[in-house]
Amino acid sequence: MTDADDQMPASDRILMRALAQALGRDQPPADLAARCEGLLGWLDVDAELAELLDQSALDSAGTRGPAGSTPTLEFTVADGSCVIEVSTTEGVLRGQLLGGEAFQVVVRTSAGTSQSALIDEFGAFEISNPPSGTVRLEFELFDSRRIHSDWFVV
Amino acid sequence: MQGEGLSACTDSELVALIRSAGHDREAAWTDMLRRYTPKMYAVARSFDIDKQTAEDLVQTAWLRFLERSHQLRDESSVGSWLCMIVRNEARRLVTRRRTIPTAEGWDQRPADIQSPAAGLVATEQAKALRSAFAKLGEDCRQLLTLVLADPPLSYDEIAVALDRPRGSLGPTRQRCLDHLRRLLPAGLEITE
Repeated sequence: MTDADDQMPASDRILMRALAQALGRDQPPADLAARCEGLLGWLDVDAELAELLDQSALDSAGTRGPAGSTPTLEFTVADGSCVIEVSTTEGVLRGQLLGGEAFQVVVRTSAGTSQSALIDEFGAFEISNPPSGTVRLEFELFDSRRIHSDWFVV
Repeated sequence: MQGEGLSACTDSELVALIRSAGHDREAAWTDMLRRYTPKMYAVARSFDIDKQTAEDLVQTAWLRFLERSHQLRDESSVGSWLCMIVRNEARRLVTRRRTIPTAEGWDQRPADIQSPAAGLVATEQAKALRSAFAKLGEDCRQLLTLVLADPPLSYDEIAVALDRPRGSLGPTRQRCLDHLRRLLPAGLEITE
Protein backbone atom coordinates (compact mmCIF):
# COMPACT_ATOMS: atom_id res chain seq x y z
CA MET A 1 0.00 0.00 0.00
CA THR A 2 0.97 3.66 -0.22
CA ASP A 3 2.70 6.40 1.69
CA ALA A 4 -0.32 7.68 3.66
CA ASP A 5 -1.45 4.34 5.07
CA ASP A 6 -0.05 4.93 8.53
CA GLN A 7 -2.86 7.45 9.06
CA MET A 8 -5.50 4.85 8.26
CA PRO A 9 -7.72 3.43 11.05
CA ALA A 10 -6.72 -0.09 12.09
CA SER A 11 -10.05 -1.53 10.91
CA ASP A 12 -9.50 -0.06 7.44
CA ARG A 13 -5.94 -1.36 7.34
CA ILE A 14 -7.16 -4.87 8.17
CA LEU A 15 -9.86 -4.64 5.51
CA MET A 16 -7.34 -3.41 2.92
CA ARG A 17 -4.92 -6.25 3.67
CA ALA A 18 -7.71 -8.81 3.51
CA LEU A 19 -8.88 -7.30 0.22
CA ALA A 20 -5.34 -7.43 -1.18
CA GLN A 21 -5.17 -11.14 -0.35
CA ALA A 22 -8.63 -11.79 -1.75
CA LEU A 23 -7.91 -10.06 -5.07
CA GLY A 24 -4.47 -11.61 -5.46
CA ARG A 25 -1.49 -10.01 -7.13
CA ASP A 26 -1.85 -8.63 -10.63
CA GLN A 27 1.75 -8.44 -11.71
CA PRO A 28 2.95 -7.67 -15.23
CA PRO A 29 4.69 -10.51 -17.09
CA ALA A 30 8.14 -10.96 -15.58
CA ASP A 31 9.83 -10.18 -18.88
CA LEU A 32 7.81 -7.09 -19.84
CA ALA A 33 10.45 -4.59 -18.75
CA ALA A 34 13.14 -6.62 -20.54
CA ARG A 35 11.03 -6.75 -23.71
CA CYS A 36 10.75 -2.96 -23.62
CA GLU A 37 14.55 -2.53 -23.67
CA GLY A 38 14.63 -2.78 -27.47
CA LEU A 39 12.25 0.18 -27.79
CA LEU A 40 15.23 2.50 -27.40
CA GLY A 41 16.18 1.60 -30.97
CA TRP A 42 13.01 3.23 -32.33
CA LEU A 43 14.11 6.72 -31.42
CA ASP A 44 14.63 8.43 -34.79
CA VAL A 45 15.85 11.98 -34.35
CA ASP A 46 16.10 12.56 -38.10
CA ALA A 47 12.38 12.21 -38.73
CA GLU A 48 9.82 14.88 -37.87
CA LEU A 49 7.44 13.79 -35.15
CA ALA A 50 3.73 14.32 -35.77
CA GLU A 51 2.37 14.53 -32.24
CA LEU A 52 -1.01 13.23 -31.25
CA LEU A 53 -3.19 16.20 -30.42
CA ASP A 54 -4.62 16.29 -26.93
CA GLN A 55 -8.21 15.26 -27.31
CA SER A 56 -9.38 16.40 -23.92
CA ALA A 57 -13.01 15.88 -24.85
CA LEU A 58 -12.28 12.22 -25.40
CA ASP A 59 -9.94 12.01 -22.46
CA SER A 60 -12.50 13.36 -20.05
CA ALA A 61 -15.09 10.83 -21.14
CA GLY A 62 -13.20 7.84 -19.79
CA THR A 63 -15.88 5.47 -21.00
CA ARG A 64 -16.39 3.18 -23.92
CA GLY A 65 -17.79 5.00 -26.93
CA PRO A 66 -21.31 4.61 -28.20
CA ALA A 67 -22.07 2.05 -30.89
CA GLY A 68 -20.84 3.12 -34.30
CA SER A 69 -18.64 5.91 -32.99
CA THR A 70 -15.37 6.37 -34.87
CA PRO A 71 -13.32 9.03 -33.11
CA THR A 72 -10.46 10.31 -35.23
CA LEU A 73 -6.91 10.60 -34.01
CA GLU A 74 -5.16 13.71 -35.25
CA PHE A 75 -1.40 14.13 -35.39
CA THR A 76 0.45 17.29 -36.34
CA VAL A 77 4.11 18.24 -36.83
CA ALA A 78 5.60 21.01 -34.71
CA ASP A 79 5.20 23.80 -37.30
CA GLY A 80 1.66 22.73 -38.16
CA SER A 81 2.54 22.25 -41.84
CA CYS A 82 1.43 18.63 -41.93
CA VAL A 83 -1.51 16.87 -40.32
CA ILE A 84 -2.38 13.15 -40.22
CA GLU A 85 -5.90 12.00 -39.45
CA VAL A 86 -6.61 8.36 -38.59
CA SER A 87 -9.62 6.31 -37.62
CA THR A 88 -10.07 2.57 -37.24
CA THR A 89 -13.37 0.83 -37.79
CA GLU A 90 -14.28 -2.78 -38.38
CA GLY A 91 -10.74 -3.89 -39.10
CA VAL A 92 -9.88 -1.07 -41.49
CA LEU A 93 -7.49 1.76 -40.71
CA ARG A 94 -8.44 4.86 -42.71
CA GLY A 95 -6.50 8.07 -42.79
CA GLN A 96 -5.51 11.19 -44.63
CA LEU A 97 -2.26 13.09 -44.93
CA LEU A 98 -2.86 16.83 -45.17
CA GLY A 99 -0.25 19.47 -46.03
CA GLY A 100 2.21 17.08 -47.65
CA GLU A 101 2.43 14.66 -50.54
CA ALA A 102 3.69 11.10 -50.28
CA PHE A 103 3.52 7.95 -52.35
CA GLN A 104 2.77 5.53 -49.53
CA VAL A 105 2.20 5.14 -45.82
CA VAL A 106 3.89 2.50 -43.71
CA VAL A 107 2.28 1.16 -40.53
CA ARG A 108 5.17 0.04 -38.32
CA THR A 109 4.68 -2.03 -35.17
CA SER A 110 6.93 -1.77 -32.14
CA ALA A 111 7.85 -5.40 -32.82
CA GLY A 112 9.36 -4.33 -36.16
CA THR A 113 6.80 -5.67 -38.63
CA SER A 114 5.23 -3.33 -41.17
CA GLN A 115 2.42 -3.00 -43.67
CA SER A 116 2.14 -0.36 -46.37
CA ALA A 117 -0.56 1.18 -48.53
CA LEU A 118 -0.66 3.64 -51.39
CA ILE A 119 -1.85 7.19 -50.84
CA ASP A 120 -4.28 8.68 -53.37
CA GLU A 121 -4.17 12.16 -54.90
CA PHE A 122 -6.22 13.54 -52.01
CA GLY A 123 -3.82 12.18 -49.40
CA ALA A 124 -6.23 9.45 -48.33
CA PHE A 125 -5.17 5.90 -47.50
CA GLU A 126 -6.82 2.73 -46.29
CA ILE A 127 -5.33 -0.40 -44.75
CA SER A 128 -7.41 -3.53 -44.26
CA ASN A 129 -6.56 -5.77 -41.32
CA PRO A 130 -3.86 -3.48 -39.95
CA PRO A 131 -1.43 -4.94 -37.42
CA SER A 132 -2.67 -4.75 -33.85
CA GLY A 133 -0.76 -3.48 -30.85
CA THR A 134 1.56 -0.48 -30.68
CA VAL A 135 2.08 1.14 -34.09
CA ARG A 136 3.13 4.37 -35.76
CA LEU A 137 2.61 5.73 -39.28
CA GLU A 138 5.63 6.63 -41.40
CA PHE A 139 5.70 8.86 -44.49
CA GLU A 140 8.43 9.93 -46.89
CA LEU A 141 7.21 13.11 -48.52
CA PHE A 142 8.03 14.06 -52.12
CA ASP A 143 10.03 17.02 -50.73
CA SER A 144 12.30 14.52 -48.87
CA ARG A 145 10.88 15.20 -45.41
CA ARG A 146 10.36 12.08 -43.27
CA ILE A 147 7.43 12.19 -40.88
CA HIS A 148 6.48 9.70 -38.18
CA SER A 149 3.34 9.84 -36.12
CA ASP A 150 3.38 9.33 -32.38
CA TRP A 151 3.06 5.68 -31.40
CA PHE A 152 -0.50 4.65 -30.64
CA VAL A 153 -2.46 1.45 -29.92
CA VAL A 154 -4.60 -0.11 -32.64
CA MET B 1 29.20 6.98 -13.57
CA GLN B 2 29.33 3.20 -13.70
CA GLY B 3 26.37 1.30 -15.13
CA GLU B 4 26.05 -1.03 -12.13
CA GLY B 5 25.57 1.95 -9.83
CA LEU B 6 22.57 3.43 -11.61
CA SER B 7 19.98 1.97 -9.27
CA ALA B 8 21.01 4.65 -6.79
CA CYS B 9 20.41 7.41 -9.36
CA THR B 10 17.51 9.79 -8.97
CA ASP B 11 14.85 9.88 -11.67
CA SER B 12 16.23 13.21 -12.88
CA GLU B 13 19.69 11.70 -13.30
CA LEU B 14 18.33 8.72 -15.23
CA VAL B 15 16.31 10.97 -17.56
CA ALA B 16 19.42 13.09 -18.19
CA LEU B 17 21.48 9.97 -19.01
CA ILE B 18 18.83 8.66 -21.40
CA ARG B 19 18.71 12.03 -23.18
CA SER B 20 22.49 12.31 -23.35
CA ALA B 21 23.04 9.31 -25.65
CA GLY B 22 26.25 8.63 -23.72
CA HIS B 23 27.68 5.23 -22.80
CA ASP B 24 25.42 4.90 -19.72
CA ARG B 25 22.30 5.49 -21.74
CA GLU B 26 21.26 1.86 -22.14
CA ALA B 27 21.89 1.08 -18.47
CA ALA B 28 19.84 4.13 -17.46
CA TRP B 29 17.04 3.06 -19.79
CA THR B 30 17.03 -0.46 -18.31
CA ASP B 31 16.88 0.94 -14.80
CA MET B 32 14.06 3.31 -15.70
CA LEU B 33 12.09 0.43 -17.23
CA ARG B 34 12.47 -1.70 -14.11
CA ARG B 35 11.52 1.22 -11.90
CA TYR B 36 8.26 2.17 -13.59
CA THR B 37 6.97 -0.64 -15.83
CA PRO B 38 5.06 -2.42 -13.01
CA LYS B 39 3.42 0.84 -11.92
CA MET B 40 2.41 1.74 -15.48
CA TYR B 41 0.99 -1.74 -15.97
CA ALA B 42 -1.06 -1.34 -12.77
CA VAL B 43 -2.47 1.97 -14.06
CA ALA B 44 -3.42 0.37 -17.39
CA ARG B 45 -5.07 -2.61 -15.70
CA SER B 46 -7.02 -0.31 -13.37
CA PHE B 47 -9.02 0.74 -16.44
CA ASP B 48 -10.44 -2.80 -16.56
CA ILE B 49 -8.29 -3.60 -19.59
CA ASP B 50 -7.06 -7.07 -20.53
CA LYS B 51 -3.43 -8.05 -19.98
CA GLN B 52 -2.27 -7.89 -23.61
CA THR B 53 -3.75 -4.44 -24.19
CA ALA B 54 -2.23 -3.28 -20.89
CA GLU B 55 1.19 -4.37 -22.20
CA ASP B 56 0.57 -2.45 -25.45
CA LEU B 57 -0.30 0.66 -23.45
CA VAL B 58 2.87 0.36 -21.39
CA GLN B 59 4.99 0.04 -24.55
CA THR B 60 3.21 3.00 -26.13
CA ALA B 61 3.85 5.13 -23.05
CA TRP B 62 7.55 4.23 -23.01
CA LEU B 63 7.88 5.10 -26.71
CA ARG B 64 6.09 8.39 -26.05
CA PHE B 65 8.58 9.04 -23.23
CA LEU B 66 11.55 8.44 -25.53
CA GLU B 67 10.28 10.91 -28.10
CA ARG B 68 8.94 13.53 -25.74
CA SER B 69 11.12 13.43 -22.63
CA HIS B 70 12.39 16.90 -23.57
CA GLN B 71 8.88 18.16 -22.78
CA LEU B 72 9.21 17.14 -19.13
CA ARG B 73 9.28 20.30 -17.02
CA ASP B 74 10.33 18.49 -13.85
CA GLU B 75 12.35 15.32 -14.39
CA SER B 76 11.83 14.27 -10.77
CA SER B 77 8.11 13.82 -11.51
CA VAL B 78 8.71 11.41 -14.40
CA GLY B 79 6.75 8.66 -12.57
CA SER B 80 3.60 10.77 -12.47
CA TRP B 81 4.19 11.84 -16.08
CA LEU B 82 4.40 8.21 -17.22
CA CYS B 83 1.23 7.34 -15.28
CA MET B 84 -0.50 10.27 -16.98
CA ILE B 85 0.50 9.01 -20.44
CA VAL B 86 -0.87 5.54 -19.66
CA ARG B 87 -4.07 7.10 -18.29
CA ASN B 88 -4.58 9.26 -21.38
CA GLU B 89 -3.89 6.38 -23.77
CA ALA B 90 -6.16 4.02 -21.81
CA ARG B 91 -8.99 6.55 -21.93
CA ARG B 92 -8.44 7.18 -25.61
CA LEU B 93 -8.46 3.48 -26.32
CA VAL B 94 -11.60 2.57 -24.40
CA THR B 95 -13.35 5.52 -26.03
CA ARG B 96 -12.22 4.51 -29.50
CA ARG B 97 -12.44 0.74 -29.35
CA ARG B 98 -15.73 -0.58 -28.12
CA THR B 99 -14.52 -4.12 -28.64
CA ILE B 100 -11.45 -3.80 -26.46
CA PRO B 101 -11.20 -6.94 -24.31
CA THR B 102 -11.95 -6.30 -20.66
CA ALA B 103 -10.03 -7.76 -17.78
CA GLU B 104 -11.00 -11.17 -16.49
CA GLY B 105 -13.75 -11.10 -13.83
CA TRP B 106 -12.70 -10.60 -10.24
CA ASP B 107 -14.16 -13.96 -9.35
CA GLN B 108 -11.70 -15.60 -11.76
CA ARG B 109 -8.59 -14.14 -10.18
CA PRO B 110 -6.80 -16.43 -7.74
CA ALA B 111 -6.68 -15.15 -4.18
CA ASP B 112 -3.30 -14.59 -2.57
CA ILE B 113 -3.85 -16.54 0.63
CA GLN B 114 -0.46 -16.99 2.30
CA SER B 115 -1.39 -19.45 5.00
CA PRO B 116 -2.87 -22.81 3.97
CA ALA B 117 -3.70 -23.32 7.64
CA ALA B 118 -6.20 -20.51 7.39
CA GLY B 119 -8.18 -22.89 5.20
CA LEU B 120 -11.88 -22.62 4.69
CA VAL B 121 -12.41 -19.41 6.67
CA ALA B 122 -9.85 -17.52 4.61
CA THR B 123 -11.23 -18.93 1.37
CA GLU B 124 -14.80 -17.95 2.27
CA GLN B 125 -13.65 -14.49 3.36
CA ALA B 126 -11.77 -14.01 0.09
CA LYS B 127 -14.81 -15.11 -1.88
CA ALA B 128 -17.07 -12.68 -0.02
CA LEU B 129 -14.60 -9.83 -0.47
CA ARG B 130 -14.21 -10.48 -4.21
CA SER B 131 -17.96 -10.62 -4.65
CA ALA B 132 -18.47 -7.35 -2.73
CA PHE B 133 -15.60 -5.70 -4.62
CA ALA B 134 -17.17 -6.63 -7.96
CA LYS B 135 -20.35 -4.80 -6.91
CA LEU B 136 -18.55 -1.55 -6.14
CA GLY B 137 -18.74 1.29 -8.64
CA GLU B 138 -16.05 1.59 -11.28
CA ASP B 139 -14.45 4.60 -9.54
CA CYS B 140 -14.07 2.76 -6.23
CA ARG B 141 -12.72 -0.39 -7.88
CA GLN B 142 -10.13 1.65 -9.78
CA LEU B 143 -9.03 3.61 -6.72
CA LEU B 144 -8.72 0.55 -4.48
CA THR B 145 -6.91 -1.40 -7.21
CA LEU B 146 -4.33 1.38 -7.49
CA VAL B 147 -3.95 1.77 -3.72
CA LEU B 148 -3.31 -1.98 -3.45
CA ALA B 149 -0.90 -2.15 -6.38
CA ASP B 150 2.38 -3.95 -5.78
CA PRO B 151 4.89 -2.27 -6.01
CA PRO B 152 2.97 0.61 -4.44
CA LEU B 153 2.25 3.78 -6.38
CA SER B 154 2.79 7.10 -4.62
CA TYR B 155 -0.30 9.14 -3.89
CA ASP B 156 0.87 11.66 -6.50
CA GLU B 157 0.99 8.87 -9.09
CA ILE B 158 -2.45 7.60 -8.10
CA ALA B 159 -3.86 11.13 -8.26
CA VAL B 160 -2.51 11.55 -11.78
CA ALA B 161 -3.72 8.11 -12.86
CA LEU B 162 -7.23 8.95 -11.68
CA ASP B 163 -7.04 12.61 -12.77
CA ARG B 164 -8.18 13.69 -9.32
CA PRO B 165 -6.76 16.04 -6.69
CA ARG B 166 -4.39 14.26 -4.32
CA GLY B 167 -6.33 15.57 -1.31
CA SER B 168 -9.50 13.82 -2.45
CA LEU B 169 -7.96 10.35 -2.41
CA GLY B 170 -8.08 9.71 1.34
CA PRO B 171 -11.77 10.65 1.79
CA THR B 172 -12.70 8.75 -1.38
CA ARG B 173 -10.85 5.65 -0.21
CA GLN B 174 -12.69 5.89 3.13
CA ARG B 175 -16.03 6.15 1.34
CA CYS B 176 -15.17 3.16 -0.87
CA LEU B 177 -14.16 1.01 2.10
CA ASP B 178 -17.37 1.92 3.91
CA HIS B 179 -19.34 0.93 0.83
CA LEU B 180 -17.38 -2.33 0.58
CA ARG B 181 -18.24 -3.17 4.20
CA ARG B 182 -21.94 -2.65 3.51
CA LEU B 183 -21.74 -5.08 0.60
CA LEU B 184 -20.25 -7.86 2.74
CA PRO B 185 -22.51 -10.56 4.24
CA ALA B 186 -23.96 -9.52 7.58
CA GLY B 187 -21.93 -10.78 10.52
CA LEU B 188 -18.77 -11.51 8.51
CA GLU B 189 -15.79 -10.53 10.60
CA ILE B 190 -12.78 -9.61 8.49
CA THR B 191 -9.47 -10.97 9.71
CA GLU B 192 -5.99 -10.78 8.24
